Amino acid sequence: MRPINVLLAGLVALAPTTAFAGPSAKAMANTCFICHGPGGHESLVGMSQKELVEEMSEMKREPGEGRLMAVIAKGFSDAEIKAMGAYIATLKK
Amino acid sequence: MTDFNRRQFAALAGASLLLPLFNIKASAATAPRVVVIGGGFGGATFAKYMRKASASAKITLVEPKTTFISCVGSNEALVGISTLQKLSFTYTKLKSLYGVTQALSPAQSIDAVNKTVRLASGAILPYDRLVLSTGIEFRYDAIEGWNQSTEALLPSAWHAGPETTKLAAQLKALPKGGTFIITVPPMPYRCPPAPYERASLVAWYLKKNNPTAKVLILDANATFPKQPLFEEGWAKLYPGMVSRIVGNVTAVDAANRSATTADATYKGGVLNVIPPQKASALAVSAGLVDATGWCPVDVHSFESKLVPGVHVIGDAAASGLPKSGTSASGGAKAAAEAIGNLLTGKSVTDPVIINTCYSRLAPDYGIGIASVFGVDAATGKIAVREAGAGTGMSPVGASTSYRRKEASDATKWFKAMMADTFA
Repeated sequence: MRPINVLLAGLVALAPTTAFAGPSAKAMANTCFICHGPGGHESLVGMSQKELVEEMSEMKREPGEGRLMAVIAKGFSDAEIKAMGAYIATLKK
Repeated sequence: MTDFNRRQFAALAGASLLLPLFNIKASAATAPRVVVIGGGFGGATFAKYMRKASASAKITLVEPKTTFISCVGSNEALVGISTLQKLSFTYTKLKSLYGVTQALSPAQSIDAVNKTVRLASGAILPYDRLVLSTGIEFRYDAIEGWNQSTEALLPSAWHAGPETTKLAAQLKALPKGGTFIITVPPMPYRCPPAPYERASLVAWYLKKNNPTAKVLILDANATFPKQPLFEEGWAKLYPGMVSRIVGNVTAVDAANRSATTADATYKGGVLNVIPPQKASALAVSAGLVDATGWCPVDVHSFESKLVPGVHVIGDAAASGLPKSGTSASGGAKAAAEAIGNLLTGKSVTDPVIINTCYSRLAPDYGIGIASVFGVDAATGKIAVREAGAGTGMSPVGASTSYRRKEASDATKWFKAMMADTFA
């Protein structure tokens, strides 16, 4: 967890104390499991950060057969996709 | 885990032989107590993700039913493409894998000052954080002639279960060339695209079994979600069968199966009233509901703006999210993370919530919509992320094979969603 928090902290500009930090990598990754899991779209568990970043970036820029995933990919910044990928790479079966 | 705690856990888990995924540190004296009321998509997802957020919390799910029947997929069950059995799920894994205790007696009242929930059994559950996920209730006073006594004749089937079966029997018995009327209440209501999916699948059933019959939608709203996709599908799959009139139904005659708007009265062979909706009576009695009939919440933690220490997720909340199963699930995950942070004195971060919704217009014809929501820094409200880029739906004019792929996506979505919630 710690490296991700550090990574995320790097993404968030220093803000007034009342501002909220951007979503955690874990929170972003948790949103994936509504479709990616048993019986659903491909499992993300076991995926490397590189693989996830490549897939998501391609969805964002060349949706092709991405269907709704192409829409969802556009809801995350490139930096967030990297952070999400780092977290997902730590998940174990 | 100590031996004592292991035994205690086994008792909680119904002496399950399955090993928990988490090393739950159930130190009775110090563990924070989190109570969640309601075991739908919001409540069940919350219970599971609360465990992911806190290994030590004592999590109690207050839900009198042992089996959950999903509303997602229930239009398919209505027309025989699916069955209620395929839509049924239990809380067994929440208990055995995530150490959630289920209280089977319904919640009766909330004492937010002393932080306790009283159950119908008389039991008192103390909490550090309470989460209400009680979904919707019907407004029985909104449509003249539609109330608890006429509901049996005019089942809404807006809660999946026995009413789905009853409405299916009415559909089957529709006279040749008759009209199946669906009335749509003013927004907000549970699952905004569902009345139109129901109209589509009823048309699919009638095309096979009663081809001169019609479907009429009486709609209180001027526009509806995925409208161009539904209208394209109706023209393509069921030409001349599905029509829609904008008009708020204010009165029905249950015996005559007729519905009245400001403009006219429409008589059908089946009258399916989807009634106007509001948050539960429990939410009202706890002081969580404002004049809109729903529960205003802080969009970061889903904590009530009216009652501190009580969070409201799912359809009952007025959060700015659509009232859908996936939004309820996303809000539940965000609330679990926020409560995990609050219980350990950490600050709450921005939530991110994905709403994904597929509708089936025929077994092999699917359409979808998705939005990624976050909190807009300027307004402090829930909004589509990345300057509005993270939202969109299936393209209009797509090929038959694209629609078939989206129907397959819909099946995968359903399976993954149920696994994410209950397994």
